[in-house]
Amino acid sequence: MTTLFITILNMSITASVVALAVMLARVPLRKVPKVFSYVLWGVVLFRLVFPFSIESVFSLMPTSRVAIPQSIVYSSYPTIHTGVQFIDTPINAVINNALPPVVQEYSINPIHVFFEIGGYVWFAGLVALLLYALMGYVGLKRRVYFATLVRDNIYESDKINTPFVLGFIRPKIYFPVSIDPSQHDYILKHEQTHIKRRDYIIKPFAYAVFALHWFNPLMWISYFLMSKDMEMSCDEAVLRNTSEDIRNDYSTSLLNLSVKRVSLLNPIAFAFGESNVKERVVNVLNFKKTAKWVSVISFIAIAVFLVGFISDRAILAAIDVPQSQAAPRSGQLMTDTAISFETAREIAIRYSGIEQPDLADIRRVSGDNDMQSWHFAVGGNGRFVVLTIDAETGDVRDVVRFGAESAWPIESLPISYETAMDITLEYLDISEPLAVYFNGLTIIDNRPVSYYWLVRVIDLDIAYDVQINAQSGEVYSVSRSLAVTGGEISLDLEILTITAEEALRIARDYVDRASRFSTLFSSDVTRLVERGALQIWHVTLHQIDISYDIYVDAITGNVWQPATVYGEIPVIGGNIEIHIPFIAAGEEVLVGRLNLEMGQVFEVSADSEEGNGIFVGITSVPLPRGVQGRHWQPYSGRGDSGNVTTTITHGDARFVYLFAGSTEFSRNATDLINVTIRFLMLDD
Amino acid sequence: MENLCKLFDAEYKFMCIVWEHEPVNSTALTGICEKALGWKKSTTYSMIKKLCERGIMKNEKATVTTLIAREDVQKYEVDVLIDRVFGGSMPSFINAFLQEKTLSAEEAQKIKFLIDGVTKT
Repeated sequence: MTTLFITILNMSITASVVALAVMLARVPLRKVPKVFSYVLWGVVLFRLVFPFSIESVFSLMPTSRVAIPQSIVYSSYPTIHTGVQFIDTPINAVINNALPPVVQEYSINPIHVFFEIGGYVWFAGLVALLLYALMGYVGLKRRVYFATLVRDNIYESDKINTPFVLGFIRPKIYFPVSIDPSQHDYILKHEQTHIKRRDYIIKPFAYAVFALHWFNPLMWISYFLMSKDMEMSCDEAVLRNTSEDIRNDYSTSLLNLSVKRVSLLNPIAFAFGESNVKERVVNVLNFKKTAKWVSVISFIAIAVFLVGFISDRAILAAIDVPQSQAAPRSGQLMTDTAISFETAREIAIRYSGIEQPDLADIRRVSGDNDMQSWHFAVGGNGRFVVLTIDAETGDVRDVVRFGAESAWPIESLPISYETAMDITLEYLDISEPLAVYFNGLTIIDNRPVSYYWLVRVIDLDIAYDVQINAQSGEVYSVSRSLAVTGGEISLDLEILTITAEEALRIARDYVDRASRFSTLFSSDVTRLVERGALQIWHVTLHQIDISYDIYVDAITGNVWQPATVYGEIPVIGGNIEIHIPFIAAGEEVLVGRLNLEMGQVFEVSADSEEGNGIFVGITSVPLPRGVQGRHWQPYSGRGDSGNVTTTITHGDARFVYLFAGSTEFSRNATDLINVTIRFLMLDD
Repeated sequence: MENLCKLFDAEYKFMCIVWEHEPVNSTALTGICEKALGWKKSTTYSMIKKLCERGIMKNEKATVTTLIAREDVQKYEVDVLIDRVFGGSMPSFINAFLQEKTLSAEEAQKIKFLIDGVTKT
């Protein structure tokens, strides 16, 4: 529901822009036939129905296609990106002032709740509006059940007091018995024009579409204006096709038959005297047959408008990739972004504050639901920074810093790690744990910067990893896992919609996509991770030489982002070749953890089946899951021609983490990358 | 009686057909109504059922017959018209009726005869 609701919201925002444009365009079109204004509403309808659109360089759209990213519900700093600065800035300020801060015990993200509830309210409103229309239709249909045939598709009845058109497939014209259709030829013509134009289908359809967007007042205004334009253009068509001057008769009939009841909301029938009778009378009385040149100019103007607003700016349309949570995703056409790879790299290095970094390379790009972004990792001088750069504006966000203690502002944090440990024990209600230790500090540089202590508590057979906000002391996330092999964990699983077995199946499907070749050796659910109210199954899958850790949302069944598929490669050394095929383009994937000896020399090579540029990198810091080792050396090799080989001499860390990914994102959403690790002779 | 004679437009048109053809087979009636009124079979049957319930007609062994006369309905309609439009005044009704009309001597004689027949002495 939330996903659907956000999709609708996004369509509503784009359509609002078009609706405003149509309203503006109607001003100069006042004097020309109303049929031109009527046609314009087609664009709004189009925008309201299709979540996708045609990209073109002729687009007049000032906004981006997706203003509200689906990921907003998980965001700690929810923002929208309409692409129009003076809209975004105030709205984002309001969103973040109005909502309570994200970090809360037991609570999921407040904006998540907002969208969840909003989704249901929206649906209820939609159902109510559709029922209203349906009841109106059934009521009218019953009234004219015994209407009698006059001729053709014209019927008469004494139970109605205004002529109208009713029906979807073979629409009929109904007249009150008091009005003789032959004597009121123009009323008949009016209704026949509705039928000829298929208005009897268009209007209910428009109503249904606008009902989808009922929360948007602009859409209601659009609907009423559209109905008005529809009626007026119909009036004009009748006047144009009648040789004698019937303006007086016509407007008198309009007045006499004007519908008193608010029938504007009845989208099914076309009453003759419906919708803004006063304005229609004025319009009828002022009617003049239009000069040809006016029509021609209007026609051209309308054509420009249609092309301009049906299509999106080509560059922005590139970010429309399917919203599947489960597949590795990538942006496309990243070469067209305002901020190039090189510029982004410079920004990343400058922002990280690391001089002459050993590693400064792209980890992945994203550009699905959000604006397009470069994700960079910069490392050197004992520090490591992961950050995201907006590919349109160059803004830096989501900065996570890892690194040596000297680089951490430990002294300035209000909550010391000793206090954090106390808070953790109190929170878990464990008085005498087997062990409790400080496990690291995470810095998320995300306006405002937040620091989290990582505390690990071992209590009998369960290990708790707890993140404590170092500024407020609030518990940010808790994950529980088995500390010993075997035994039972008592977790409250009743609220979960995805069972452990289902999570296992989802994870297996996911791995099947990532590695097409190997068969699974074993698979198991190892733990349930809690983050606020989010529950995530951690599933481990083993192939012969690789293990995968997959995180499956226990409520939605989505594979969690960052959907890191990584394997643990149990290698002690020697001359071994390992081939790891995986799907990744525009994604960095942590290929695996290598268990190595000091001074181990190995060669890593990777090639892309699609010929995309790829890179491999290695670090002793496991990205991005927290600080575990203080000694690490990042390396990287980068190749733009579809393959890369780099020779690495391993330092003194026990494990190294190998990651790889695409550097070029213009060809395919998925790419098969083969990574080969060749262990050479040990250096003596 | 009043209730029975008060007919909606569609009901009256339908009754006219039945009066003309009665006694009439109900299937044949649906055929006639389809042509004359643009009704589907089911519409005709609904109407028969409705009027039978009101006691205006009866449908026995698929044969439809009326229970009230066309004249009763016409009289009721005229009464209502005189009541509503002419305040119950017969002379003003006749006056309106005769305006801008010329009657042949024969017609005038006939009407005179009718009036004499209902005149209280």
